[in-house]
Amino acid sequence: MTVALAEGLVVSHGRQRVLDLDRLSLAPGETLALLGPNGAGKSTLLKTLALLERPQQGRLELFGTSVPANERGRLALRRRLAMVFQDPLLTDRTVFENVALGLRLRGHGGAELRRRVMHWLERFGLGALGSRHPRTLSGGEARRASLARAFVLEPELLLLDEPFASLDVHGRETLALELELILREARLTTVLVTHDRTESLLLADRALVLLAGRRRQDGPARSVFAAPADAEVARFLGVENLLPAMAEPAQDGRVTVSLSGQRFLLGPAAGVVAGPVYLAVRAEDIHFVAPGSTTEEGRVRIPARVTRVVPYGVPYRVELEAGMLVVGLAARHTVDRHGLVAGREVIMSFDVGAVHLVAR
Amino acid sequence: MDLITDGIRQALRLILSGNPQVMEIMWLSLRVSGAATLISVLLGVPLGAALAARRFPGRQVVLGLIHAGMGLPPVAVGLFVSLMLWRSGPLGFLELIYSPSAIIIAQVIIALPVVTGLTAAGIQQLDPRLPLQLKGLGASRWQAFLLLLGEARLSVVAAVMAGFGAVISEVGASMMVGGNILHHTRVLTTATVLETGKGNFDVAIALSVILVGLTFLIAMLLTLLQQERSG
Repeated sequence: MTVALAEGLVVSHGRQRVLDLDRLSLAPGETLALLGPNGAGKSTLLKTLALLERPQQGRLELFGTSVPANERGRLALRRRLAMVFQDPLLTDRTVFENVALGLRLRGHGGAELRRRVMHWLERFGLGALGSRHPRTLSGGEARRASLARAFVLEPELLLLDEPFASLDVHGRETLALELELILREARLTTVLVTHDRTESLLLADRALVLLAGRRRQDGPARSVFAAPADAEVARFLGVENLLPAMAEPAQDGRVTVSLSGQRFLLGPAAGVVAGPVYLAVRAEDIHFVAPGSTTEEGRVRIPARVTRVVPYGVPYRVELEAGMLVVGLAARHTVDRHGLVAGREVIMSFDVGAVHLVAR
Repeated sequence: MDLITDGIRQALRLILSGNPQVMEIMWLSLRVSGAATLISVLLGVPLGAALAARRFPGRQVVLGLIHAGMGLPPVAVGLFVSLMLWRSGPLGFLELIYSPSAIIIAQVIIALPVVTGLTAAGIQQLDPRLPLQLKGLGASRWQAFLLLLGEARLSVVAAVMAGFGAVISEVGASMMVGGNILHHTRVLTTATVLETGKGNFDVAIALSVILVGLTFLIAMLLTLLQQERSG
């Protein structure tokens, strides 16, 4: 049985078609990351799955049941899921009562309600804050309360719209790591909207890329990031280098790639096999080697000149000119060891296993 | 000065002695304005909530009309309702003119825009995504409506207070449609005007002290209700 099954879903706001989803199915226990730029239709898809928005066209099944048109039937299905919005949106009552809200709406009460609420307050580190008013909570605490308010319902489908939005870096990291543990334990079927690659890889089994309301890529999270379907998806997924190259088929399904005067072989899973292509290489996969050192098997070396080196988070961002602009990331010691400064001639290198070809 | 202190003394005497005529006028005022406020709340709160939550063509015009209605002069309302209920008027067959029901109708017209407008403003101040979040947690439409009212209760109770304040204190409409008939349609405000006209300043002051006292008492009760959970 699928938890959710959608086919040909179309949602329009006025004349604008916000979502045009050919197909989506969710297996029990699966965590799906919905990725896409602002306005791609992620939140609309989430609201449609939460039965808070009615599609103009298409078929939607939840928990093996076709979603009915009448409000009573929709409410019955809605009570088997929970949705958490981008902002905590806590109500004007204590933290305990906020977390208890969904249970009370379903007619629960008494000791069982208290036990469940306390369990989830504690699970989200809010055990001591039950009697506090939301106005007195920090952003992170309010966010946790809004998550506890959904988890306490033990929903069959959990929909999270950017659960870490507006938290600082430290808050994001801590909560993401905790949520990973909680999701793994609770084994809830979850759809989560995020912009962040680290969070997607940490939390999701599967990733779906939406661009302009359409499903552009859908697969295991790791392979979506490793092998974007096309240049637009690659750009959105933050692949810094899309290097123009030519591909031609070689033996055993492999691909010969010509890039900047170099020819090398890529494996059968490299992507597009013929014609003008982009070689997608992430900045962290660009390495620097000392001139004259021995060539390693499976690595491509390209002479380049450093044009700019700037601190960029923990690593340095290194911009290179190699007949095309290339961006790399280098740890501080790499910058020192290779003397990476603007104007320096270097050899950059990448592993043929770390690159992917997309159509140009 | 003596006039005022005498008036206040007289008021206390009338209240403490439970003067039947004063009590009758007071109860009628409370009943009529209470009923008008209740009807305005029953109609105005859902209407205000719907105006705040829904988007439809002409919404701005409706809101504008309601806001304009918040300042309706009671005399004009009284004149309009009189013309409607007058024996030869379009609703004359109802035979309501010079009855407490006629005053209630006029007062509903005065209080309804106040309750509707302030409720709409209060609910519009809430986060527009809150209704969806409540539904996303499993609230039915009715539960979501009640929760939203709870969230906007400071404004909703203020709306009730303003509506009640507007009708308990108005005199023009009550006078015109009620006729200030003793034992039938005489309320605190019309009685005060009458006694002042007759030169019975002590009774007039007594009646206004009762009117102000009542308004204060009800406003206090509503304030306690309003502030109960907001700390």
